[in-house]
Amino acid sequence: MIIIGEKLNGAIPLVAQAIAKRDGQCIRELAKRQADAGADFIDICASVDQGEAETLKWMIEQVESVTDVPVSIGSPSTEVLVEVYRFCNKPGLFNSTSMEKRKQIEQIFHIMKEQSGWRAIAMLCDDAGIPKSVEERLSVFDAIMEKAKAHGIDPARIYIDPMAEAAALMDPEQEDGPGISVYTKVVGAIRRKYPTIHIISAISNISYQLPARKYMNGSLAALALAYGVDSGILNPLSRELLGVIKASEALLALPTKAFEQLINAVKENRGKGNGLLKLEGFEDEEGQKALEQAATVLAMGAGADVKLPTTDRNLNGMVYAARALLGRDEDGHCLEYIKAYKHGLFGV
Amino acid sequence: MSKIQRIADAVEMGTAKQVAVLVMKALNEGCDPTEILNRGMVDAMGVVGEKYRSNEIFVPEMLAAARAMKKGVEILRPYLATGKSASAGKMILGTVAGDLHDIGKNLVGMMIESVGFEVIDLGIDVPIEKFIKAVEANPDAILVGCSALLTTTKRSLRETVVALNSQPFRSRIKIMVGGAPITQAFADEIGADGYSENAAEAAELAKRLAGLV
Repeated sequence: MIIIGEKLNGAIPLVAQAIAKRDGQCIRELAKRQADAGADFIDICASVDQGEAETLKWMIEQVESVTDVPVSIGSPSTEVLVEVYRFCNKPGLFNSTSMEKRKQIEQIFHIMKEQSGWRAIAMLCDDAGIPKSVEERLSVFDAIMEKAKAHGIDPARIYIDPMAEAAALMDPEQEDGPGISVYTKVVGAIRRKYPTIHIISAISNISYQLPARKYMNGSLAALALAYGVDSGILNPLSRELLGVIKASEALLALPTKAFEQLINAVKENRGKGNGLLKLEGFEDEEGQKALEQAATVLAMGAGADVKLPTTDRNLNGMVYAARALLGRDEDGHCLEYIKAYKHGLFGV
Repeated sequence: MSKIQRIADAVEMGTAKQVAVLVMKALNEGCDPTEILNRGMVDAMGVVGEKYRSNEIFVPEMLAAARAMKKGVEILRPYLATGKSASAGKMILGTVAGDLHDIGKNLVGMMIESVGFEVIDLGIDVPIEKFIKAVEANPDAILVGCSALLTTTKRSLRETVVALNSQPFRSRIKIMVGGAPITQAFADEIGADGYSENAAEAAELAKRLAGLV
């Protein structure tokens, strides 16, 4: 997974403070730590009332002074993106544009035409908001691709954000299926149509307003990868999340037969069945745990059921989260997940 | 346990189907529709809001309760005499111009409806004139709620509230504002009547501003 490190965001109080005090040390450290953890881009977002461009410029200087990892410039304002990208020594990522009129997607594509290294995240929304149905969301996608084509932008330079909405707010009666099915259907359709395009998700959004967020984030990351997402805006400093991502990737890269055997092992509730895999960069036990969790969630995504609760609290968290995301939560929208959490089956 | 209490429990539990069945039963057995609404559902949502504020329950549980109540109200509606409307008042709600976020605003709308208000939702990216026209078109509106989720649309929120403040209808409405970057201090500064941090508080605030508590 291409990782966009999300930690340098002014919406985080510690970062807001560093920005206000122009504490470069704090920004540089967070940039360095994310780069060391394997981030492919360092996202920066100012979240200030005034002087956004100037703040971003300062943040770019801090980040570029400690790492070669390119910057992802986060701003809801296209004017600011256009003003600020010139300050980067290395081409990065525009975060983000969309089909909203005020985002002027053409302006971003125009810059990308001139500056061949720059890439952009494009969200699947327009002036009517985030479309509820698969069909409408895909028609926003088509509109984006039409603009890209008109500017001669290679799909491989575009990061489509299909908009995974907070699980806590999912409507159990939504059309196009329960749980994250609108999202997975959109991802699948795009991946089939454009093998080289990037599909990105802000992983932590899924767990907004929910307890024990890491399980929701981890489950979504695994499922997203299975459907064809290849990039994530996330916290690279979370070893657990990174473990599940690396494990999911390793499992999804297995030959079909080996993957099926693994799924069957989980279906038969043996859980493990992946003792042969080793996760690079992780201690044996840490890696095995991550593989077990990823295998379980991926198997659930492929239709398997897991008897609950298991004896492993971390696995419980992942399984209940996956059930909610896959719309198998009988009470609808995350209620079963919350009940299990309150019963102490996972979490603190 | 009384029938009304059963309805209240089902609303609190967020079991929509059960609420629907219980409301129908209560109606068949001659319960007063207004009583079912106020004692059975609005009061139960008050309890739900309180539990959310004290971190006893999470957003999905609050949402499930609001949805369950909505199911009950749908069944109840034909029985509520239009003359003695049980509505606590009418509210105009929207996310300000330039801002497309509707999750928080929708949650606020649901919670405010659940404490008895009628909510007219203008949607997202609402221009100032649309807020003004909506208040003019609804002479019985007593509340206007404006939401802004971005630091960059705080300016838009300020312009909206300032514009509303200069309207001749200002004295008959109360303005409430909210959204992630908004604070009480900012609400005071731009001349809004109230600010709330979350949807449950917004429902309480609406009642307070409408003079109901």
